[in-house]
Amino acid sequence: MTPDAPILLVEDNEDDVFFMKRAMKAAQITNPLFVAVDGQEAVDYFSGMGRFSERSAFPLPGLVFLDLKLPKKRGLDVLEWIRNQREFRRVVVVILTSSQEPNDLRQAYAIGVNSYLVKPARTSELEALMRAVKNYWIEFNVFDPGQA
Amino acid sequence: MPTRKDAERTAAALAEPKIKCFVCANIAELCGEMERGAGAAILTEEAIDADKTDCLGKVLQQEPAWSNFPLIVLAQERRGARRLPASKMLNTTLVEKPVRIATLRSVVAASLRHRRHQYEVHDMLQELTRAREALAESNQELEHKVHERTEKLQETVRELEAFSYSISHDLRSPLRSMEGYAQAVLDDYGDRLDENGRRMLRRIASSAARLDLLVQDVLAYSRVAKGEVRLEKVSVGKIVREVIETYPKLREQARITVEEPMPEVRAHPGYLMQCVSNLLGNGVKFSQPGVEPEIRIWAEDERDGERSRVWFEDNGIGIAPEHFKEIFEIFGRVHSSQHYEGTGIGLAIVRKAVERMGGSTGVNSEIGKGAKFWLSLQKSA
Repeated sequence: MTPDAPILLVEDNEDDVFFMKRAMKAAQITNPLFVAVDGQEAVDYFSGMGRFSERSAFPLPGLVFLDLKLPKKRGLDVLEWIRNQREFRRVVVVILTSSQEPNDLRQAYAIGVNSYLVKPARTSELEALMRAVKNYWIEFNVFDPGQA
Repeated sequence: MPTRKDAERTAAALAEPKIKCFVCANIAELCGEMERGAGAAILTEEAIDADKTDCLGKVLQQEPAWSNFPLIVLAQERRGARRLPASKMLNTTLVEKPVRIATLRSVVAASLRHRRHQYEVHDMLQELTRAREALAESNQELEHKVHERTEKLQETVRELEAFSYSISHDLRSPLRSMEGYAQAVLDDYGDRLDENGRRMLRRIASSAARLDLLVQDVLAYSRVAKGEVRLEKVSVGKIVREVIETYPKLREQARITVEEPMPEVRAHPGYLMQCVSNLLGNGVKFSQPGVEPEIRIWAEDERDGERSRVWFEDNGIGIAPEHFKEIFEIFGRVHSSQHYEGTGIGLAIVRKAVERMGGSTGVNSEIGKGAKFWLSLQKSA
């Protein structure tokens, strides 16, 4: 993934958005970050609806951080929606949630999530997590060249 | 009866042993008395000759299953009885004429006794039917209640699941925020605070982190306590090696030796893994100051040959025997969390998980002499 490919963070908790921004900065992730604050906004972002209608201002993301418990549309429903769209089904989606419930894990992998991360309790751990994301998904992972 | 005088005489003779007698002029009258509840009937041959016996036949046919009305026929010869209506159940006693009064008395008394028994059977049958109906009714009520309770229980389980789901999502989020903001203030404004201010912020952060650990452990406990357990053949050695590989800190902080052979047991891999990692974690955590933690894992057959006992022996601070029970209880801890970090749930999870797998757990130890924890599980064939 190029350093200018956008990252979409789907997160309804302002605090978590704040911490993610700090942790990404600490991990030197420089990709532009866009935020959808509920499940519906995430779908709108992908389909260029509502306040995301301007594609040049809101480019399609190369990586999505998706929370599970979201207002309006559950994270798993958003994931399923993305996987059902021909043009988005290869987008890398990483679940980032506080839930370790076996049910959530099972369903997320069944629908086809690329990775499942649990929000750590400590800032230092979140920074470590973001460094790992940068190394793996942004630097080392080889993407399908046909992907948007 | 043909001659009223004979009938009156018979009635009088029977009145002496207190048998109440009615004299009927014809079969139709007799049928009337039978329907009113007469206990037995005396018929003379002539009465059968003289009158039509259709209505007697009808009355006898209509008798319920429990009833078999006694007829006493006074006849000159055997053929007298042949004129009676055909019925398999006909309960007839033939008394040959001339009739001795003593014979008649005893025959009538026997017939009445017989009839009384029939009524007794009838009453018992009725009681039995009533009891059966009552039983069926209470069974139905019980089934209804069981159904209702099952539904209620399922509802509670669903609520509990929703509750723990919501805890894992909602309760932990503010804790992360507390830790996160305290850390953010430390990072961004730490240089403008004195050491005391920075220390307090660090305390806020570590308290939040500890509470988060507690929430996670409570959730782990409730997962172990409520989930469905499907047992399968599990290699203890494989699980132990997996735990050691998953938590590199264990290897760094302690010398762990696994003594083969390790058994194969009936277990739930996830639960067993949870048990092993909690026990190894404790072995590392409760080490003696200045002594490198050593954990030795080995297994042996239980005396019954059916179970395997897996031992986890450490060289840590040990546990006084009076605390053996307490440490397996939820929040049961011997040391304050200032000295040894932890939530006091780890061993409760171990005990619950082992119990759910049909096994047992315990410890042998002395203060200062290390601890030997064991898990006992059904061997896999």
